[in-house]
Amino acid sequence: MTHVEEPAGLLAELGRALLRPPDGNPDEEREYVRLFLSPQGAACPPWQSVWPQDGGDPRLMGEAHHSALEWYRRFGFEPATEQEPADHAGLLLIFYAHLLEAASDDEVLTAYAGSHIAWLHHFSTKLEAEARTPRYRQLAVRLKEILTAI
Amino acid sequence: MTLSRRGLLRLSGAAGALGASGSALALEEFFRPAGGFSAQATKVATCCGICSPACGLQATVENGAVRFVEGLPGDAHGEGHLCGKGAAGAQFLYDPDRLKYPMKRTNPNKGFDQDPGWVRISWQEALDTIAAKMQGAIDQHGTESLLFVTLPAPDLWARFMNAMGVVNRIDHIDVCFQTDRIVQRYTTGGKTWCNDFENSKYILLFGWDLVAKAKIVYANGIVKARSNGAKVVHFSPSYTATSRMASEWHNINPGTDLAVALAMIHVILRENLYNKEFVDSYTNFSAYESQIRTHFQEYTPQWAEEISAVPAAAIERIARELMASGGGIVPAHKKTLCANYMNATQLVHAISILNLLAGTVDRPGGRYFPRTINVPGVDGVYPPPAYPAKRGRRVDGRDKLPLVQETDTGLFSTLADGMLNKFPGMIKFAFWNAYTILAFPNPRKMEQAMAGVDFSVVMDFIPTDTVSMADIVLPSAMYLETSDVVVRDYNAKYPQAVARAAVAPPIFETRSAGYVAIELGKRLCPDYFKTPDGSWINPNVLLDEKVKRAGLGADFAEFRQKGIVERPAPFVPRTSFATGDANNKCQLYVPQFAARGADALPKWRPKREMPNAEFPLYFLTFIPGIHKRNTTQNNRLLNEIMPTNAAILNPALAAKLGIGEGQMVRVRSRVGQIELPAHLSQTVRPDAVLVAHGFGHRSRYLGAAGSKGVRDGDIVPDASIDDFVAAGNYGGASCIMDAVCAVEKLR
Repeated sequence: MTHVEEPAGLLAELGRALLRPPDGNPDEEREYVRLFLSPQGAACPPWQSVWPQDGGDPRLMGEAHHSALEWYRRFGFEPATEQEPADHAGLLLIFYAHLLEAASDDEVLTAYAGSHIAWLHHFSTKLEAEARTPRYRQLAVRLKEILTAI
Repeated sequence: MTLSRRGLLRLSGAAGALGASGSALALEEFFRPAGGFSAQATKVATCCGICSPACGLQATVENGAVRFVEGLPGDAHGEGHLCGKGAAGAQFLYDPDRLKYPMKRTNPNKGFDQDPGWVRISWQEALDTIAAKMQGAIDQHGTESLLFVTLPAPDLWARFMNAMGVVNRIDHIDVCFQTDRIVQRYTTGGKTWCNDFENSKYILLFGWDLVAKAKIVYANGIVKARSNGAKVVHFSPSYTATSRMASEWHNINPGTDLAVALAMIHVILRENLYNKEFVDSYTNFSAYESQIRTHFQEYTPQWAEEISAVPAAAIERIARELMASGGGIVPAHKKTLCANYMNATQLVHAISILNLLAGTVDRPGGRYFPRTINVPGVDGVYPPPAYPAKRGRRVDGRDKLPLVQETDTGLFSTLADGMLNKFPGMIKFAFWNAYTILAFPNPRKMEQAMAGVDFSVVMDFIPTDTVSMADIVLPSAMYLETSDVVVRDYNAKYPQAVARAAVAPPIFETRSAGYVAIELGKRLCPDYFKTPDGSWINPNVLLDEKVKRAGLGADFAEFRQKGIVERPAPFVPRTSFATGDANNKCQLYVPQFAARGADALPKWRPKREMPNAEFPLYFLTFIPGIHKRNTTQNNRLLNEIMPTNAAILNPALAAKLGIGEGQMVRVRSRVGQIELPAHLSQTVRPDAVLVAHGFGHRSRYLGAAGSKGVRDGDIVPDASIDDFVAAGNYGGASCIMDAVCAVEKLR
């Protein structure tokens, strides 16, 4: 089994990489937009509500947004801006990292992961298939690995 | 294997996120202490913004997100209900394909097969770039090189275009109600949006499928009219929901409604059936009686029967019934009829005359003028410096049609021809606000025209096909995210104003058109965007001023609490009509038309295209009740109800051509062809093909609508302005349904 050094730090960095395009690398910047934000249909939208597991319609600000907010609030947090839906993959990963570091009990971690991390397996598979640059192919692989490992 | 963070550092370049504190730093950057969001589910009142009646709506909002929307109980317009489109409002708001941030293209090659290489930019960069490109085009090629495909709304946006002297502004009104607007300006002196169906005794509908397609308030009005015993007569070349609800339906030959209307006027004049009191007191009939009587003499019911296939006896009977009813109405409405054929202006003129002869203009049971609340626009609140004169060539040739030039709205149908053939290369800069190329006849030609524009900006909610041609994309806020005062001009027997309130904070970086107008104004025409004290116009302060000056409340917040302000007052019928007549009377005979080279009285003219050996079938289109034009197909809820279109064929025609249900067919016209499945239905004539409008979005990035169905417009010829002048289409009707076609089976 894969051993992960400092899984929280890794998760947080992956989350950060999903939330922010890299500075000063035009190719990677274009790829970030194409994958996550493109006005011509992002290849791999990073919001959980866009990946409904119950066969519902993909949308923004769906049930996952409400549920994620509940989780954040339970631990005294909420996203820094209301302009970003709470179920953005980056936010979900950073918060998962926080839960890991805060030494939350297994039950909490399992419940959170079941609600808001499990879908990232589908997401990372799609990302791996869609990514055309080293940075995002690697991000997909790393995300997959860490999700499998922890 | 050990998965370490070393690889990830290379990956993310996040040099700051070292050590065990990495997650803590990220948490700090992207989270804050709880307490900002309103977690409590609340019901917030506002009004719908999908179409103009602004039905009362309440949104259930929780965690900064709209859970769902429903009708506002007690509201006079929707009577507590929303239509299908309105009820799907939250799905528009949260369409996963929504445009989210300003973007710029990095690949200069445009087209559906190109990856634009979008990169995210700040609003600041977007606005600076747009302003520089606009100014550059003006400096090098003059104001005529700017094209704005947008409504003149909101008022801030209109001010911006006026301040810049924009001459080539174009909106969809010519495919909608332009002919009616032009005709009513001179026949009744205004635009009568209001139809008093519930008090009407006889409703004569040319084409309009108002039960399926119209506003709730009108659909309910028809139901009430029928319950009250009113007779409803429907002329339509396809059998619709309205045909079903009507007392009688006539399967009229497409584009021949004018012949029937002219013949009805003939009967009414011949038998002196008109409302003498109204006609003598409030119209110019007596001043032009001999011209009018002579003019309509040739339009006999027998003549009309040959053209329209409506029996002469039925025409005579309906004309008599309409007049004897003592309260009949002949509405005209939008794309369903008025705009669709080359003879549409003459038709709406004839319809206006029928209403005048019935004596019900601005009378109970008739078409009436809205009683409105006067809410000042930005020019009322902050009077602008004098606007520059509009100089330059009109790319669509609207100046060749004096009555259209007066309205200065432009023509969708002649735009592509103007850009490609009349004034090639003239347009250098284009700004599209919420219009797609699907709205144009022959959209393929419009794509070619757009490809020749140096710099295009597209502001929209979702990535429509037009986005593929953009250099900069601006994400638009929508009606559930913005605030405004809406004055109702539908069903407005007494003045009503409704608060449109932002029920949820805008997500991502969406902004309103008013914001863009102010920001471009600051950069390009600053004197027009300052208040008297020298500060920039603030849209929130402006809104408060509008509310205050209209007497709707101390400020917008107070008005919003009220939601709807109604000022019930008895309906006082108008006795003076600002038509340009010296005695302020309504005009059957319109001398101003004659003075502008048009017909003072409506003359028979055929539609543009008639079935022939090569194209033996009429091509008919319709907009399904569940969709709004070409703008709602990506809404997953509406898409589920109606995801695509088909070629609707009468079973007799299908049998003749050996076509079965669901079989792929090719429909061809002189400008293009489409391939789609056949659907067999008795609701369409055996000499026609019926196709729903709004489908065939080519942008594969529209997750629900992309690549589904075909564009009806690909069959419909666009026009040259010369065609319109030659055909006497002085109201600029777009001919969006004036086409013929052939259909054949595909293997």
